[in-house]
Amino acid sequence: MDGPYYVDTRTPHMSADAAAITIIATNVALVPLANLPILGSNYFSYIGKAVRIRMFGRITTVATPGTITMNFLWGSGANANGTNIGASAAFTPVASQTNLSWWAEIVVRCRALGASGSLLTTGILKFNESVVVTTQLIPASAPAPVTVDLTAANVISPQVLATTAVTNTMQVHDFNFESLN
Amino acid sequence: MDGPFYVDTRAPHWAADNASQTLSTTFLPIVAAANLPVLGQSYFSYVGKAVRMRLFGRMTTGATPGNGQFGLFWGNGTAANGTNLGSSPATALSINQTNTSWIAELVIRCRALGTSGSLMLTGWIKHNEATLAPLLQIPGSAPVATTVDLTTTALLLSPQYLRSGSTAETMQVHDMVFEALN
Repeated sequence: MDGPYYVDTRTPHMSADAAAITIIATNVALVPLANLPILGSNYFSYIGKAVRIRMFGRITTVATPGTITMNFLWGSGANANGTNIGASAAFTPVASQTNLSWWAEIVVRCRALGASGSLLTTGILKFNESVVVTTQLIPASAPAPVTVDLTAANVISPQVLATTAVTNTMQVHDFNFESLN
Repeated sequence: MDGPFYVDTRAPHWAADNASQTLSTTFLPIVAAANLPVLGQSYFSYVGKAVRMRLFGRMTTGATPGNGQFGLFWGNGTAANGTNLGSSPATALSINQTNTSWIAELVIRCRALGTSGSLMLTGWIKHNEATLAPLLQIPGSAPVATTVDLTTTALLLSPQYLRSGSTAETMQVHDMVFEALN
Protein backbone atom coordinates (compact mmCIF):
# COMPACT_ATOMS: atom_id res chain seq x y z
CA MET A 1 0.00 0.00 0.00
CA ASP A 2 2.62 2.42 -1.14
CA GLY A 3 0.66 4.53 -3.59
CA PRO A 4 -1.88 4.75 -6.37
CA TYR A 5 -1.01 1.64 -8.38
CA TYR A 6 -3.08 -0.85 -6.42
CA VAL A 7 -3.52 -4.40 -7.67
CA ASP A 8 -7.08 -5.58 -8.17
CA THR A 9 -8.74 -8.60 -9.74
CA ARG A 10 -11.18 -8.48 -12.61
CA THR A 11 -14.47 -10.32 -12.89
CA PRO A 12 -15.69 -12.87 -13.77
CA HIS A 13 -14.40 -14.70 -10.71
CA MET A 14 -14.79 -18.33 -11.76
CA SER A 15 -17.35 -20.23 -9.75
CA ALA A 16 -17.22 -23.47 -11.77
CA ASP A 17 -14.69 -25.37 -13.84
CA ALA A 18 -14.26 -24.41 -17.48
CA ALA A 19 -15.30 -27.16 -19.84
CA ALA A 20 -12.54 -29.54 -20.88
CA ILE A 21 -11.18 -28.98 -24.38
CA THR A 22 -9.66 -31.41 -26.83
CA ILE A 23 -6.34 -30.29 -28.24
CA ILE A 24 -6.13 -30.26 -32.04
CA ALA A 25 -3.75 -28.94 -34.65
CA THR A 26 -5.02 -25.37 -34.37
CA ASN A 27 -5.39 -23.19 -31.32
CA VAL A 28 -8.34 -23.97 -29.05
CA ALA A 29 -9.38 -21.64 -26.24
CA LEU A 30 -8.72 -23.06 -22.78
CA VAL A 31 -11.04 -20.55 -21.13
CA PRO A 32 -14.46 -19.66 -22.61
CA LEU A 33 -15.08 -16.03 -23.43
CA ALA A 34 -17.70 -15.91 -20.66
CA ASN A 35 -14.93 -16.57 -18.15
CA LEU A 36 -12.59 -13.85 -19.44
CA PRO A 37 -12.69 -10.15 -18.60
CA ILE A 38 -13.57 -8.03 -21.64
CA LEU A 39 -10.94 -5.35 -21.49
CA GLY A 40 -12.53 -2.75 -23.72
CA SER A 41 -11.02 -0.54 -26.35
CA ASN A 42 -7.79 1.14 -25.24
CA TYR A 43 -7.75 -0.76 -21.95
CA PHE A 44 -3.98 -0.51 -22.12
CA SER A 45 -4.13 3.23 -21.79
CA TYR A 46 -0.57 4.04 -20.79
CA ILE A 47 2.82 2.55 -21.48
CA GLY A 48 3.80 0.30 -18.62
CA LYS A 49 0.27 -0.81 -17.73
CA ALA A 50 0.30 -4.51 -16.92
CA VAL A 51 -1.93 -7.43 -15.99
CA ARG A 52 -1.21 -10.82 -14.43
CA ILE A 53 -3.04 -14.05 -15.26
CA ARG A 54 -2.83 -17.22 -13.21
CA MET A 55 -4.43 -20.50 -14.26
CA PHE A 56 -4.61 -23.92 -12.67
CA GLY A 57 -5.87 -26.95 -14.52
CA ARG A 58 -5.55 -30.59 -15.45
CA ILE A 59 -4.35 -32.53 -18.48
CA THR A 60 -5.04 -36.03 -19.77
CA THR A 61 -2.84 -37.47 -22.52
CA VAL A 62 -3.43 -40.20 -25.06
CA ALA A 63 -1.13 -43.02 -26.16
CA THR A 64 0.58 -40.92 -28.84
CA PRO A 65 0.35 -37.44 -27.39
CA GLY A 66 2.50 -35.53 -29.89
CA THR A 67 3.57 -32.09 -28.77
CA ILE A 68 1.64 -29.20 -27.23
CA THR A 69 2.16 -25.44 -27.30
CA MET A 70 0.46 -22.95 -25.00
CA ASN A 71 -0.30 -19.58 -26.57
CA PHE A 72 -1.89 -16.34 -25.45
CA LEU A 73 -3.94 -14.67 -28.18
CA TRP A 74 -5.00 -11.02 -28.27
CA GLY A 75 -8.34 -11.39 -30.02
CA SER A 76 -12.02 -12.17 -29.70
CA GLY A 77 -11.52 -15.23 -27.51
CA ALA A 78 -12.71 -17.57 -30.27
CA ASN A 79 -10.52 -20.47 -31.24
CA ALA A 80 -7.39 -19.35 -33.07
CA ASN A 81 -8.61 -15.76 -33.33
CA GLY A 82 -6.21 -12.85 -32.97
CA THR A 83 -2.50 -12.27 -32.55
CA ASN A 84 -0.24 -14.58 -30.59
CA ILE A 85 1.40 -12.38 -27.95
CA GLY A 86 3.19 -15.13 -26.02
CA ALA A 87 3.95 -18.80 -26.60
CA SER A 88 5.72 -21.63 -24.85
CA ALA A 89 8.04 -23.85 -26.80
CA ALA A 90 6.43 -27.01 -28.12
CA PHE A 91 6.76 -29.66 -25.41
CA THR A 92 6.15 -33.40 -25.45
CA PRO A 93 3.96 -34.77 -22.67
CA VAL A 94 4.24 -38.31 -21.36
CA ALA A 95 1.66 -40.66 -22.88
CA SER A 96 -1.44 -41.97 -21.15
CA GLN A 97 -1.49 -39.73 -18.08
CA THR A 98 -4.82 -38.93 -16.47
CA ASN A 99 -6.00 -35.73 -14.81
CA LEU A 100 -2.57 -34.42 -13.87
CA SER A 101 -2.35 -30.84 -12.70
CA TRP A 102 -0.65 -27.86 -14.29
CA TRP A 103 -0.23 -24.22 -13.40
CA ALA A 104 0.66 -21.12 -15.38
CA GLU A 105 1.30 -17.49 -14.55
CA ILE A 106 1.98 -14.70 -17.02
CA VAL A 107 2.41 -10.94 -16.96
CA VAL A 108 1.35 -8.89 -19.99
CA ARG A 109 2.70 -5.34 -20.15
CA CYS A 110 1.97 -2.55 -22.61
CA ARG A 111 5.03 -1.23 -24.45
CA ALA A 112 3.29 1.03 -27.00
CA LEU A 113 -0.22 2.44 -27.42
CA GLY A 114 -2.92 2.65 -30.05
CA ALA A 115 -3.56 0.84 -33.31
CA SER A 116 0.13 -0.02 -33.56
CA GLY A 117 0.48 -0.80 -29.89
CA SER A 118 2.56 -3.56 -28.43
CA LEU A 119 2.39 -6.04 -25.57
CA LEU A 120 5.21 -7.95 -23.87
CA THR A 121 4.20 -11.33 -22.41
CA THR A 122 6.42 -13.22 -19.95
CA GLY A 123 5.58 -16.15 -17.73
CA ILE A 124 5.93 -19.72 -16.58
CA LEU A 125 4.03 -22.97 -17.15
CA LYS A 126 4.59 -25.97 -14.89
CA PHE A 127 3.02 -29.41 -15.15
CA ASN A 128 2.92 -32.31 -12.75
CA GLU A 129 6.27 -33.86 -13.60
CA SER A 130 4.66 -37.20 -14.37
CA VAL A 131 3.36 -35.65 -17.58
CA VAL A 132 5.90 -32.90 -18.42
CA VAL A 133 9.19 -32.80 -16.55
CA THR A 134 10.64 -29.56 -17.82
CA THR A 135 9.37 -26.19 -16.70
CA GLN A 136 8.21 -24.13 -19.66
CA LEU A 137 9.05 -20.43 -19.75
CA ILE A 138 6.94 -18.15 -21.91
CA PRO A 139 8.69 -17.42 -24.14
CA ALA A 140 11.49 -19.99 -23.85
CA SER A 141 13.97 -17.55 -25.35
CA ALA A 142 14.40 -14.02 -26.65
CA PRO A 143 11.41 -12.23 -25.07
CA ALA A 144 10.13 -9.40 -27.26
CA PRO A 145 6.98 -7.27 -27.46
CA VAL A 146 4.42 -8.06 -30.16
CA THR A 147 2.64 -5.40 -32.21
CA VAL A 148 -1.15 -5.44 -31.79
CA ASP A 149 -4.11 -3.11 -32.18
CA LEU A 150 -4.86 -1.92 -28.66
CA THR A 151 -7.87 0.08 -29.82
CA ALA A 152 -9.79 -3.18 -30.31
CA ALA A 153 -12.03 -4.40 -27.47
CA ASN A 154 -10.21 -7.70 -27.20
CA VAL A 155 -9.42 -10.29 -24.56
CA ILE A 156 -6.25 -12.17 -23.66
CA SER A 157 -7.21 -15.74 -24.50
CA PRO A 158 -5.11 -18.71 -23.31
CA GLN A 159 -5.11 -21.34 -26.03
CA VAL A 160 -3.30 -24.58 -26.86
CA LEU A 161 -2.52 -26.49 -30.01
CA ALA A 162 -0.90 -29.77 -30.99
CA THR A 163 1.52 -30.43 -33.80
CA THR A 164 -0.75 -33.19 -35.01
CA ALA A 165 -4.48 -33.64 -34.46
CA VAL A 166 -4.19 -35.72 -31.34
CA THR A 167 -6.77 -35.88 -28.62
CA ASN A 168 -5.14 -34.87 -25.40
CA THR A 169 -7.51 -32.89 -23.20
CA MET A 170 -6.98 -29.94 -20.89
CA GLN A 171 -9.29 -28.21 -18.44
CA VAL A 172 -8.98 -25.02 -16.43
CA HIS A 173 -10.26 -25.14 -12.87
CA ASP A 174 -9.31 -21.71 -11.70
CA PHE A 175 -8.45 -18.45 -13.41
CA ASN A 176 -7.28 -15.25 -11.74
CA PHE A 177 -6.90 -11.96 -13.62
CA GLU A 178 -5.23 -9.02 -11.89
CA SER A 179 -4.65 -5.49 -13.00
CA LEU A 180 -1.19 -4.57 -11.71
CA ASN A 181 -1.37 -0.79 -12.03
CA MET B 1 -10.36 -6.35 -0.60
CA ASP B 2 -10.33 -7.96 2.82
CA GLY B 3 -8.83 -5.03 4.66
CA PRO B 4 -6.32 -2.23 4.61
CA PHE B 5 -3.30 -4.24 3.46
CA TYR B 6 -3.92 -4.05 -0.26
CA VAL B 7 -1.21 -4.92 -2.74
CA ASP B 8 0.03 -2.22 -5.09
CA THR B 9 2.82 -1.94 -7.61
CA ARG B 10 5.55 0.67 -7.58
CA ALA B 11 6.73 2.76 -10.49
CA PRO B 12 8.76 2.78 -12.66
CA HIS B 13 6.52 0.58 -14.79
CA TRP B 14 8.92 -0.38 -17.51
CA ALA B 15 8.37 0.87 -21.04
CA ALA B 16 11.48 -0.76 -22.50
CA ASP B 17 13.97 -3.54 -21.85
CA ASN B 18 16.71 -2.96 -19.32
CA ALA B 19 20.15 -2.79 -20.96
CA SER B 20 22.04 -6.04 -21.26
CA GLN B 21 24.75 -6.66 -18.65
CA THR B 22 27.99 -8.51 -19.41
CA LEU B 23 28.65 -10.67 -16.37
CA SER B 24 31.80 -10.93 -14.32
CA THR B 25 33.19 -12.96 -11.43
CA THR B 26 31.81 -10.39 -9.00
CA PHE B 27 28.23 -9.30 -8.57
CA LEU B 28 27.01 -6.78 -11.15
CA PRO B 29 23.57 -5.16 -11.27
CA ILE B 30 21.23 -6.61 -13.88
CA VAL B 31 18.69 -3.80 -13.41
CA ALA B 32 19.76 -0.17 -13.73
CA ALA B 33 19.06 1.99 -10.70
CA ALA B 34 16.79 4.16 -12.84
CA ASN B 35 14.53 1.14 -13.38
CA LEU B 36 14.16 0.39 -9.67
CA PRO B 37 11.86 2.13 -7.20
CA VAL B 38 13.76 4.29 -4.74
CA LEU B 39 12.30 3.25 -1.43
CA GLY B 40 13.29 6.21 0.68
CA GLN B 41 14.44 6.53 4.25
CA SER B 42 12.74 4.11 6.65
CA TYR B 43 10.57 2.70 3.87
CA PHE B 44 10.30 -0.45 5.92
CA SER B 45 8.36 1.40 8.59
CA TYR B 46 6.87 -1.49 10.54
CA VAL B 47 7.90 -5.02 11.33
CA GLY B 48 6.24 -7.36 8.86
CA LYS B 49 6.16 -4.94 5.93
CA ALA B 50 7.03 -6.84 2.77
CA VAL B 51 7.59 -6.37 -0.94
CA ARG B 52 7.60 -8.84 -3.84
CA MET B 53 9.78 -8.62 -6.94
CA ARG B 54 9.28 -10.57 -10.15
CA LEU B 55 11.89 -10.45 -12.90
CA PHE B 56 11.88 -12.01 -16.37
CA GLY B 57 14.88 -11.93 -18.65
CA ARG B 58 17.23 -13.66 -21.03
CA MET B 59 20.74 -15.06 -20.70
CA THR B 60 23.50 -15.95 -23.13
CA THR B 61 26.46 -18.12 -22.15
CA GLY B 62 29.83 -18.69 -23.79
CA ALA B 63 32.26 -21.59 -23.78
CA THR B 64 33.31 -21.41 -20.12
CA PRO B 65 30.55 -19.80 -18.06
CA GLY B 66 31.30 -21.66 -14.82
CA ASN B 67 28.70 -21.27 -12.10
CA GLY B 68 25.94 -18.68 -12.04
CA GLN B 69 24.67 -17.02 -8.88
CA PHE B 70 21.86 -14.54 -8.26
CA GLY B 71 21.98 -12.10 -5.36
CA LEU B 72 19.84 -9.24 -4.07
CA PHE B 73 21.62 -6.24 -2.58
CA TRP B 74 20.32 -3.57 -0.23
CA GLY B 75 22.43 -0.68 -1.45
CA ASN B 76 22.75 2.09 -3.99
CA GLY B 77 22.34 -0.17 -7.02
CA THR B 78 25.95 -0.16 -8.22
CA ALA B 79 28.06 -3.29 -8.47
CA ALA B 80 28.08 -5.28 -5.23
CA ASN B 81 27.27 -2.13 -3.27
CA GLY B 82 25.61 -2.54 0.08
CA THR B 83 24.55 -5.72 1.81
CA ASN B 84 23.72 -8.98 0.04
CA LEU B 85 20.40 -10.11 1.50
CA GLY B 86 20.67 -13.57 0.01
CA SER B 87 21.90 -15.57 -2.95
CA SER B 88 21.00 -18.59 -4.97
CA PRO B 89 23.48 -21.47 -4.74
CA ALA B 90 26.35 -21.19 -7.23
CA THR B 91 25.25 -23.65 -9.91
CA ALA B 92 26.82 -24.70 -13.20
CA LEU B 93 25.59 -22.96 -16.33
CA SER B 94 25.40 -24.82 -19.65
CA ILE B 95 27.78 -23.61 -22.31
CA ASN B 96 26.92 -21.75 -25.50
CA GLN B 97 23.24 -21.03 -24.87
CA THR B 98 21.77 -18.01 -26.64
CA ASN B 99 19.00 -15.76 -25.34
CA THR B 100 17.38 -18.38 -23.12
CA SER B 101 14.74 -17.10 -20.73
CA TRP B 102 14.76 -17.03 -16.93
CA ILE B 103 12.32 -15.89 -14.24
CA ALA B 104 12.77 -15.00 -10.57
CA GLU B 105 10.42 -14.12 -7.75
CA LEU B 106 11.47 -12.72 -4.38
CA VAL B 107 9.76 -11.62 -1.18
CA ILE B 108 11.61 -9.28 1.16
CA ARG B 109 10.10 -8.80 4.61
CA CYS B 110 11.15 -6.50 7.44
CA ARG B 111 12.04 -8.30 10.66
CA ALA B 112 13.40 -5.37 12.68
CA LEU B 113 13.44 -1.57 12.30
CA GLY B 114 15.97 1.23 12.38
CA THR B 115 19.73 1.36 12.07
CA SER B 116 19.99 -2.24 13.20
CA GLY B 117 17.05 -3.34 11.16
CA SER B 118 16.79 -6.61 9.36
CA LEU B 119 15.33 -7.94 6.13
CA MET B 120 14.39 -11.53 5.33
CA LEU B 121 14.77 -12.58 1.69
CA THR B 122 13.10 -15.70 0.29
CA GLY B 123 12.50 -16.61 -3.32
CA TRP B 124 13.46 -18.64 -6.35
CA ILE B 125 14.97 -18.38 -9.80
CA LYS B 126 14.18 -20.65 -12.74
CA HIS B 127 16.23 -20.69 -15.92
CA ASN B 128 15.32 -22.23 -19.23
CA GLU B 129 16.43 -25.79 -18.55
CA ALA B 130 18.80 -25.74 -21.50
CA THR B 131 20.89 -23.28 -19.48
CA LEU B 132 20.34 -24.47 -15.91
CA ALA B 133 17.89 -27.23 -15.07
CA PRO B 134 17.02 -27.06 -11.37
CA LEU B 135 14.79 -24.45 -9.83
CA LEU B 136 17.02 -22.66 -7.34
CA GLN B 137 15.66 -21.45 -4.04
CA ILE B 138 17.00 -18.18 -2.69
CA PRO B 139 18.69 -18.91 -0.41
CA GLY B 140 19.42 -22.54 -1.18
CA SER B 141 19.46 -23.41 2.52
CA ALA B 142 19.18 -21.95 6.00
CA PRO B 143 17.10 -18.82 5.31
CA VAL B 144 17.93 -16.12 7.82
CA ALA B 145 17.27 -12.42 8.18
CA THR B 146 20.14 -10.03 7.40
CA THR B 147 20.97 -7.01 9.54
CA VAL B 148 20.89 -3.75 7.59
CA ASP B 149 20.48 -0.05 8.26
CA LEU B 150 16.91 0.75 7.24
CA THR B 151 17.29 4.47 8.01
CA THR B 152 19.69 5.29 5.18
CA THR B 153 18.17 7.44 2.47
CA ALA B 154 17.42 6.38 -1.07
CA LEU B 155 18.47 2.77 -0.98
CA LEU B 156 17.34 0.16 -3.47
CA LEU B 157 16.76 -3.55 -3.68
CA SER B 158 19.20 -4.34 -6.49
CA PRO B 159 19.13 -7.70 -8.32
CA GLN B 160 22.69 -8.72 -9.23
CA TYR B 161 24.36 -11.72 -10.81
CA LEU B 162 27.82 -13.22 -11.16
CA ARG B 163 29.37 -16.12 -13.00
CA SER B 164 32.60 -17.84 -12.06
CA GLY B 165 33.80 -18.53 -15.61
CA SER B 166 35.72 -16.46 -18.06
CA THR B 167 33.64 -15.90 -21.19
CA ALA B 168 31.29 -13.09 -22.17
CA GLU B 169 28.07 -14.23 -20.55
CA THR B 170 25.26 -11.68 -20.67
CA MET B 171 21.95 -11.18 -18.94
CA GLN B 172 19.12 -8.83 -19.79
CA VAL B 173 15.94 -8.13 -17.85
CA HIS B 174 12.85 -7.50 -19.96
CA ASP B 175 10.23 -7.00 -17.31
CA MET B 176 10.01 -6.35 -13.59
CA VAL B 177 7.01 -6.16 -11.25
CA PHE B 178 7.61 -4.58 -7.85
CA GLU B 179 4.73 -4.92 -5.39
CA ALA B 180 4.22 -3.62 -1.91
CA LEU B 181 2.44 -6.47 -0.12
CA ASN B 182 1.10 -4.49 2.82
